Amino acid sequence: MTITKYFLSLIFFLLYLPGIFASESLHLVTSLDPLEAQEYISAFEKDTGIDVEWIRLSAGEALARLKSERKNPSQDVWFGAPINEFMAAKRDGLLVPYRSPSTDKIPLKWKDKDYYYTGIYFGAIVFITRVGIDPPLSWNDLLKPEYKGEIVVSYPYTAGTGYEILVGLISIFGEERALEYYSKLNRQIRRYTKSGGSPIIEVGLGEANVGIVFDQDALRKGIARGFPLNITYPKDGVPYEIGCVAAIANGNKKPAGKFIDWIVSLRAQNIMQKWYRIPLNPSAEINKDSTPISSLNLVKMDFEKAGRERERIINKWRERVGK
Amino acid sequence: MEREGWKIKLLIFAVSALVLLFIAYPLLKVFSSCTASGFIHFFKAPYFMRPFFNSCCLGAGVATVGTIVGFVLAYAVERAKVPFFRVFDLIGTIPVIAPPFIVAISSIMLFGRNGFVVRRFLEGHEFFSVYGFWGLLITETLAYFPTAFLVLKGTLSAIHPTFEEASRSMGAGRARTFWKITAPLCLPGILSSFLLLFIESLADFGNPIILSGGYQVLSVQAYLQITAVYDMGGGAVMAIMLLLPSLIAYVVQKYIVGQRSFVTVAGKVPRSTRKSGKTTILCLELFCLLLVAVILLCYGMILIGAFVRLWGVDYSFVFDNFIKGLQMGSQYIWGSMILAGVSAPITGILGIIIAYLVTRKKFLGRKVLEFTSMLAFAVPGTVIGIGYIMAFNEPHWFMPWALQGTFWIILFLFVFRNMPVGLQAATAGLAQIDVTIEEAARTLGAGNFILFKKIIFPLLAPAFFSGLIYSFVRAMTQISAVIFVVSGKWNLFTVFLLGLVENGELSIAAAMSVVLVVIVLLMMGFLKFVIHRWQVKQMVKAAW
Repeated sequence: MTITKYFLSLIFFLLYLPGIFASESLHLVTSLDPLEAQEYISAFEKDTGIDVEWIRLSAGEALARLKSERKNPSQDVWFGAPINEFMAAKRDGLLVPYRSPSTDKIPLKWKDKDYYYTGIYFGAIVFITRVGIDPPLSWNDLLKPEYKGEIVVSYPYTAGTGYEILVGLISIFGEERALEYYSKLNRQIRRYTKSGGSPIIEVGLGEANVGIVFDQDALRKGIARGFPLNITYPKDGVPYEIGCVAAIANGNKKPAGKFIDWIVSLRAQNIMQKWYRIPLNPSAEINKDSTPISSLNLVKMDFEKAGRERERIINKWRERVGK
Repeated sequence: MEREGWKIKLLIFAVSALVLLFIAYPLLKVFSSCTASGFIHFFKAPYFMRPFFNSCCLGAGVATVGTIVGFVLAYAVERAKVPFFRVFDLIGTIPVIAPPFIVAISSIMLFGRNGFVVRRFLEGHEFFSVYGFWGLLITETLAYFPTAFLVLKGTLSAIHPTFEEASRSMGAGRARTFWKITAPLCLPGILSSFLLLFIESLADFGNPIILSGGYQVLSVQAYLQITAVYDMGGGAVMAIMLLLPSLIAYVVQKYIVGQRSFVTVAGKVPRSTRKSGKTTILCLELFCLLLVAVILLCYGMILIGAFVRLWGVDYSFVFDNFIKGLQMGSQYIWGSMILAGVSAPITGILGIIIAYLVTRKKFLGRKVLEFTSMLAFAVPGTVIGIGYIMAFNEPHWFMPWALQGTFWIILFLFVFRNMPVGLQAATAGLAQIDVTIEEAARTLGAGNFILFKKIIFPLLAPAFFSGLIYSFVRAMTQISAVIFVVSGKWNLFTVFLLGLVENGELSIAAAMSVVLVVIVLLMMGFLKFVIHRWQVKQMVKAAW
């Protein structure tokens, strides 16, 4: 008869055990590539001695996960996703403000005035083209017949990159004309990808001729790896992102604050150039292959609207494009 | 039978509670999250309906082609006994142990625009895009035809040859006999293989998550709807729509098969003495060789790809991919091995306990327990995954911790999703054990525990071990359900592989697929060894 006893105690053991081991380490969610994230995290662990448990989720997935775990967040800090996602998270009460002397170094235009989130790097949207193909120079060039069925781009609802492109187009053309433009662009598109960096691989492997991606991804995942690619900056307006970091509401704030202090420090910001990101700490170094912010014709991005009306914009896009 | 003691009652209660909590509750949660407006939205929005139709078309295509391939192979191996039929028999089972998207990866390497076949033999001219209907049709057919093969082999071997003999004696030719006798008698097998493949294709997640860029399918879109759009209601509706075609197909199959009698066997089936015609054998042989060549090409490509520096650009030979992959993925690999290792024995034991309870004990809700236990296996992984994320996101009065993001949710998912196979094996095993043996043991004074340890378990050991091996392999290679519940601390090998493919690390992904297959094979070998040792020990004991 002991088997019954064993079995019952096993059940209770299984049900109650999860609460017994609640660790004191930093729980971090990042939308950066695992390889890159690992580099910052290892350096952080080495510098501070804090153990990091982390997970990689794309920006949209991360926001959804934070929403679903609102009452009982499994993460303390969110790191490396575009600013509009953080604006949405702030509005939903998913973040908690954090201010420290080190975040004060970041120029005001790159961070939240209430200290809910801080920009840590800059990235521009670019066209990538397979070597040997005439590159498109402007957004309207993408509609040329020669690119029909040759363009790869990420879904706006699954990838931060894809959404940033849509937001950029809305900021350039205005919402109605941007959607009109996108439904024309849709006819040129070979396929959509789930994650923002995938178009680089597709173009690199020769599966398509043109991709729309972030420049740091194109440099690192494409050109630096040996894929035959060219980068062009759209001359009628370059959409961009600000990658941010923020502490998560109801999370463990102490290690989260330590991480934020660390990631804006010169030491961490200087790692960014290795990954072709443009750091926002003004004293940090920039990679020689990157194009400095000052030389780009930047779009006036409406991040506020992008964060506030994400759901509406995306639904409208899905209605119009049908994907 | 004597009245059950309170301890057995308690066990029944505990097992039922677990099954309800970890199978019925998540599924109910999916159903209860659907709203009428959700369905209306689904039927009105083209971005929901198109994936639905795509999934159904693909499912029908895979079911048709897969069943044909499976039937021809089964006929060649079982009836015609073509030369090397034993080799073909073995080849047909290889895809069963492979991770879900190994074929998807190799088909990119082979048939992509820059793939090996397209570049070398077609001069860069692709006849179809791998990232679309045809690519998915080919990969899913290769991945799932073994199901059809196994089902139809069973059907063919159960057809009494005297029917064919009689037909031939009465003057019908080989072809006429085949079409008039053999094929109609195979109808139930053909239909159930069609149904199984249809369901498997609809539920498939690993291949379409990689290849469905140009051809959206429902299982992937449901995943994106939940994890990217955070529309739980919409995801639940999509999950139900994923179930619906399978249910309809099931009912139709029952109806057609239920109408006629197909019984030809009463007792043992003798071997047929008639040989197939020479041309038939030649054609079958060629077909089998072609199939083997395609399978070897697919898996061979993975092996080659694993040693290439950068797939698509630099084809020099390196060993780096293994080192890099093992460094990057050590956490994932250990996570998978620990979870698979811990869940497999629990799965096996739970399967035996439930089988014992439902076959040997009489209690209220016995049928419900049996049915619910089988359910987690029958529904698509995406549906179960969505159910788990909805059910265990936050604490309840009956579950004091939010399981989401922990080791436990993955463990429970593995246990309850893989348990039905062990359960079925154990039920079949128990049906063969006469109750009188147990009664004799009881008469001699054995309690439940002794009875279980000395009688039931040793007799059910084969069922237990096959359940154990199955659940270990499945835990190592599964993705569709668990992708919803993985977390930073507990992540899995298959999720790591998917990330590699998405980042274009095809060579590392290929290397890691090789590692995964090696781990699975080693573990199977190890378990087989343990079983063998154990059986020898038992025999020695028995001899004494």
